[in-house]
Amino acid sequence: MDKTPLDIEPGEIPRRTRRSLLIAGAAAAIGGGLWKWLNSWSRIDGLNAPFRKVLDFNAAIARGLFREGTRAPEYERSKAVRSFRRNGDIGLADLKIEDWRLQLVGVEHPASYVQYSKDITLWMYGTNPSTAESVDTGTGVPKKLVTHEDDAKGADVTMKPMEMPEKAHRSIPGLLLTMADVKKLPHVEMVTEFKCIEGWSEIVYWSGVRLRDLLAAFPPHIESASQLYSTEFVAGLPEYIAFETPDGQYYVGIERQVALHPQTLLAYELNGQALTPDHGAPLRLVTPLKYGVKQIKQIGRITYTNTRPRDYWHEQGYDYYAGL
Amino acid sequence: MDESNGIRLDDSSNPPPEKSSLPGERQVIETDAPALGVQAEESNADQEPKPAERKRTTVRVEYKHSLATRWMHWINFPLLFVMIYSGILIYWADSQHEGLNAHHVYRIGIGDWTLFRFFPRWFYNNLNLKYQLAQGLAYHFFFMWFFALNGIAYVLYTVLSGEWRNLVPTRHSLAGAFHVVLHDLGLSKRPLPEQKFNDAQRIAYTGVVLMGVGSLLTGLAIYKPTQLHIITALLGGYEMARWFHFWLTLSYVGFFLMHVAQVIRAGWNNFRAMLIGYQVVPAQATKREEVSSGQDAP
Repeated sequence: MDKTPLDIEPGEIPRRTRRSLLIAGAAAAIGGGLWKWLNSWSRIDGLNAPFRKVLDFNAAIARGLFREGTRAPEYERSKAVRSFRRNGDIGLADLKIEDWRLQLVGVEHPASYVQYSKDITLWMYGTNPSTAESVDTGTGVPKKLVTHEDDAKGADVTMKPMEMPEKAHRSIPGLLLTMADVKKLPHVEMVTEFKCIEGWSEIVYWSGVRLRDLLAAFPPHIESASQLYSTEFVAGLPEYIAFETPDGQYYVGIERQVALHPQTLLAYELNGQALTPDHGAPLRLVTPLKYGVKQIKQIGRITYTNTRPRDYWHEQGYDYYAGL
Repeated sequence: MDESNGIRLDDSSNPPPEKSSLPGERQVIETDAPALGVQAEESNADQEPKPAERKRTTVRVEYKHSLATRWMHWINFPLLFVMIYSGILIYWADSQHEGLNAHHVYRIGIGDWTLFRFFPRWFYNNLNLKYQLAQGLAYHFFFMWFFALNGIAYVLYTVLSGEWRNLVPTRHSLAGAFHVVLHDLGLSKRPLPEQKFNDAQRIAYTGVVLMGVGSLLTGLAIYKPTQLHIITALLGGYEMARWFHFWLTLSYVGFFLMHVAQVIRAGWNNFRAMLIGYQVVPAQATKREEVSSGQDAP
């Protein structure tokens, strides 16, 4: 029989075994070293650099591939859950709905609107008497702030009283919109599946207005027009929209494509009822393009910006994109 | 499932010479079995000549697993481990809400009735798997590339090399696999047919590759359920996709346990073949005529 390169003498087997075991040992050591090395990088926003880079790479692929061009499936209203699960109350505070204003920053010619304010950060939120009472008549010990973990366990959550951070006053000109201003925009209803980054999902019946209608009603003023997507979208639109709660404790940023998507809503109703405080009364973001972490509750301020806004869970090591 | 039954009596089925670098090729060389310290024959006693004959048996060396197959096999091992580990870090975030989540995807049960929930608290508590959702997601979406690429490379290699012929089940594999199970349980004395991978192995090894395809598809359906909602819908929705993804993972664990048990059972000679590529098998009397340069048996 012809000899092939695969021919070996049986006597060679022990030598080959030793060699293979050495290679296997070296490969295992290299693998273990790679694992350590990957985890030894300095952290970028709560995540070792290689992992952060790959999350950003994955996001770039998803953005380039999908361009947020798909509409998420919508469902019959009867499929929606009666009681939507509550999860996360960071940045939520007890505020009087009538005292709420939507601060809008980055609008073109803001002074031309009746809602114009030279410094929107001077806006004072009232506190509900019930909360003030419970704090006053308590033991005098300030209530422990509800942590995310407490909330996830389903603990009873009391909205903390509204407290503005000391550095809140920053002389930002903009608009102070009322709920009536928001509701002047076309009313939209949508039944979509809400997905939490923790894994669970529920079909929810939302009502509100489209974010893109707000953008159209209060067009942005962007000083340096976007370079990144200059051919892709209408010129003059910001690359990002930044959101934060009235107290600034929770904040997210979404990309322009998401803001312009027809299923991205500023929701004020859940199951046809006004939002309750734990679901983000009076106004929250809803979009099936993102995990729930991006769907900020109790929006206090919306800012049009070309700079990527800070994002609460991104700073804790999560993907900025968080796109579905 | 790696029971060493790579003995092929009939060499007429060998590939033509130009394909001789493929693992299907059998080289037959006789030598003294004890000199090689081969123990594996003991575990295959039922397939081999009767003990009296075996003492005089010579061995031949058979090329069983190609270099590419061996590397991809061993690279897959830590990758699958990391994917499962990071998956558990992710599952923790959902299963921590025991009783809160109305859907209870990760469990054994039907309707409102649950027999067992994945995973019990002690599991996460004792294995330090808590509060690492962000890290778990980062690992999962980092190593998914390498897991997928290694798997795709393996499928391409197996198809292009022709090795798939040894791995894909045939029409008779279901019956054959039943026989293998009976045989391995000691319920059938009928010897297994001579082939590189027996019918149970064919089903298992092809099945686990299909499971890999399933993990990629269900993973995509969970990863991009809006942009790829067609895949998600075909799988029965987001929760069903999660359910499939999870049970595929548990099936890997099941495959792994069975695989390791069978490898231990088959012995060192068989395991060594996944390291060096070669397996020592008894050279049967009928093979002698094909040996051109073997030494004489003692």
